[in-house]
Amino acid sequence: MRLATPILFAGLLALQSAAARAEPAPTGEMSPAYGTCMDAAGGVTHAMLDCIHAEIERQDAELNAIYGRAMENLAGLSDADVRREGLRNAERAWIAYRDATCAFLGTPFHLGTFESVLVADCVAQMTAERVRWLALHAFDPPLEFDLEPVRK
Amino acid sequence: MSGEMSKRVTAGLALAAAVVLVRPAAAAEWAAVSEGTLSPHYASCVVEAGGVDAAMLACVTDEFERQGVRLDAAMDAALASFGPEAMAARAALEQAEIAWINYRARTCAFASALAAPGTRGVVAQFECMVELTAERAAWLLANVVDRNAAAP
Repeated sequence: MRLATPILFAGLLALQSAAARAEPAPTGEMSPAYGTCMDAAGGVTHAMLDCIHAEIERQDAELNAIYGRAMENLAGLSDADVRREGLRNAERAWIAYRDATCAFLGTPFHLGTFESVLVADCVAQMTAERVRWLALHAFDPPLEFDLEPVRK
Repeated sequence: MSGEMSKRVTAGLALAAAVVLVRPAAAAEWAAVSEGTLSPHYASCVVEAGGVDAAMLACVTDEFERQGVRLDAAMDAALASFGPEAMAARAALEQAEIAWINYRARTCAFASALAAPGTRGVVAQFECMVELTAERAAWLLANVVDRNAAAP
């Protein structure tokens, strides 16, 4: 059951609160450190997995930070309770969707594929996309992005 | 700009062809569809609506219907692209689709709650549904249909 590990890992991280390393502005992209790490991994599976798991940790911290900001922001609006509950429900549904989607990508389509890498990469990418979605859609006006060029 | 426009028109034609074919088997046709996410009708409808809520509502509901057809076709193509040896992957995809539908519903309910109440909120909800549905169809084509087609 090597598939379950990254998903469980991501789930545990998602449970941690927004205390973790928050960046000043969201990027909604994979971090530059991830690109550097992957280059150094030279295609070796376990090294790539280490890079991706570190990136999941970073992206989860960003997601928690922006989610916390969005919830705080909603608290100041009218119908705050309804809106906050809406975002909470959306976030729970998103986590279930991400985990099911990444588990699907890890189910062998064919022999000899790198499922564990696909699953972990899926979690990292989707989490980065979610940061972007929240920044654009959970704030009025939308949050500004840190638009520094980012290496993939 | 005109290149972008012609790309959109090509994608629109491919979409129309795909709808006529009902269940296109070839991944190549789908690669063309995945190029364009939203239909050209939608773009011109939004321009004509000129920000009037009632007119926008007609645009978003029409486009949602089109994207629904496109998503159904993409899902059919995705399920059909698995060989008989990949039953677990097929089942995992169906699970992921259920999680995705719930995620879309919750996310777009939140988008609606964040917008103003009344017609504007409904328009925001459908805009969100259109965006996520179009993305999902493209995702299915790229990550399932194309990946299966590229398999040895």
